[in-house]
Amino acid sequence: MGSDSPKLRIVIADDEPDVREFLSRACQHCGFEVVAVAENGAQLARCCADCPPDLILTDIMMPEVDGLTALGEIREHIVIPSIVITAHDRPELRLQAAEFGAVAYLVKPIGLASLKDTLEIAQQRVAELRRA
Amino acid sequence: MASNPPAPRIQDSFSEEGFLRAVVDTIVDAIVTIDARGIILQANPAALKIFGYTRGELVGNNVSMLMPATIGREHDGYLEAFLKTRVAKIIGIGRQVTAVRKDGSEFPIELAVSEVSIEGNTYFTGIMRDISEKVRVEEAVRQERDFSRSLIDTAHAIILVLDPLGRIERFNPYLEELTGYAIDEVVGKDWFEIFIPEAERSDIRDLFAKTLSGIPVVSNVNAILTKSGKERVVAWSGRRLLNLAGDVIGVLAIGNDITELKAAERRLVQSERLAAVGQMVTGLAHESRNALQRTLASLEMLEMDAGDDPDALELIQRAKRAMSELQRLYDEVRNYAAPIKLDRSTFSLTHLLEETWEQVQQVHETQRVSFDVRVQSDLDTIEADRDRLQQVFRNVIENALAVSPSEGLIRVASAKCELNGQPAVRITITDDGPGLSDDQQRRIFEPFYTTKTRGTGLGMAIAARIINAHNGVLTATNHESLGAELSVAIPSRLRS
Repeated sequence: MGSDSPKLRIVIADDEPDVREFLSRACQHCGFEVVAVAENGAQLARCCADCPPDLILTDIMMPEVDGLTALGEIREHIVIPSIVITAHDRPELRLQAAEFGAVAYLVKPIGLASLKDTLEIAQQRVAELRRA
Repeated sequence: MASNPPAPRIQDSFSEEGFLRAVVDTIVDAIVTIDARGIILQANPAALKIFGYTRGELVGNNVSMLMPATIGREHDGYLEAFLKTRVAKIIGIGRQVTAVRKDGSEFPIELAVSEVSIEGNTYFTGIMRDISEKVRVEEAVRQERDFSRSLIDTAHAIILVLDPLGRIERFNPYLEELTGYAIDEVVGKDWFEIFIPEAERSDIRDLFAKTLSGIPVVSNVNAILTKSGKERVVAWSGRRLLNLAGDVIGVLAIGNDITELKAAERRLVQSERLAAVGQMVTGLAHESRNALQRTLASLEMLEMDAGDDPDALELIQRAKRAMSELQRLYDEVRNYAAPIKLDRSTFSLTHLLEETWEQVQQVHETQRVSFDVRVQSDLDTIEADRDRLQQVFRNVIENALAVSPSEGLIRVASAKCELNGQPAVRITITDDGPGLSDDQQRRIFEPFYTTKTRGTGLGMAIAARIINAHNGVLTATNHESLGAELSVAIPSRLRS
């Protein structure tokens, strides 16, 4: 990414501490700013309401409120592109994620390399949205 | 007869003539005497009864009245011809003819005629037996026999008769069709030597001996061999045959070919087991993805921390490779266990095969191996699940490629065939590698059977499941000039 572009601000949501830590470090490693880390969908929605980020990285299956429900809720107020990272590979989930503004649907396990590629694509989409 | 005066010769309670009269009057056969012109002179009580006339109605009339009109018209001529030529058609011979009662009804009789000369005059005596009942019984027996024969000929079951030594006496066309042996080829030969696989032969001989001793066989399942050496699974019932004297003259065995039934049963058990495994594996796959994600997350963080320590980086790479192999195994098991739903379309086999070869070339070093596709144009268009079929071809081609020598050739050919009576196409893929061992041929479609060091051993098992889902058959043999030959037979058109 170009050095002139401002750092994308990212919110991360996953119920696994190991995964949260990895996603945070990976985003920072790739030059992004992680503004908040959530453990479930409810926290994610609250974070996004308090301080809307440029991009959301979220798991689907999480306690209390799941990731897709949170994305749907957020979308009612503000459009924020998202990347869904989940262990569930089901067509109906992919479809719903796309409807809620996901720009990518990644099936776990995800390594640094593929996450980096996806983040770059997402950054382009964010830039397109800004211009629009 | 009545005009001759009695000449007593025997000193007995009745005279010889009286005795003869009594016989004639009480005998069940009709006795009619005519003169040389055919005029009835005498008729006994049985004749009156059988033909329905009174004596007065018969005596003095031409005997042709007892015959159908067509014969009756000729009868005087027959008599004249006989008297002139002495060539007998009935006289002294006896035969079955048709007679007519007073009421016009016809019935079969056995007729014996004898010629009598008394004082220069020629008379003929006819003895007639009503054989309506006999003919009716014969006809019933004939019909019964024809019915039995057509049952035996058309039965969709094996009907086999062996003599007490186990030699083939007869069997029906169904067995000829099933095994490819004509009855004339094997009649008189030992059934067990020809038709029973060696491994089962002595058990089946024992069973045969028991049957001969009077213990019937009920639903014994054993294999029989066809002329081409294939086995068919047959459920047998049998019992011994006795003649009227009670001697054992052989064994009658009825067999049903249950090969397809058995195969279907196996498939059902397999698919039930897979459904159970599938549920387990789906749960497992999800949990494993989460665990794998945590492992990978930790490895990636470790890699970020490792800086440029080459030994540490190398170990991390190894752990990642092992992990991705584990992941691939999970994916394949899930893929194998998942129910197969076909997404049908109509497409060209040649296009599919060429496209598959291109895909294989992209991921494998193809070692200058060539690929030769020859699908007959009239068999090229097929209705099937294109992606699934491609998965099958890719697996088969990758296996062929793995054993192909440098400058090797993978050949694809087609042939028309039939599956369960429906038109089908057979695609054979042949390599010029070392061919399959007996063990490989037997086990190639078993899940987790593999000869490669890297591989889950599920590729061919999945391929077989996909072909089964198309109501087709996937087989593995060796080509006559060595090399493995995988053959995919599927109906040209899927039934909805």
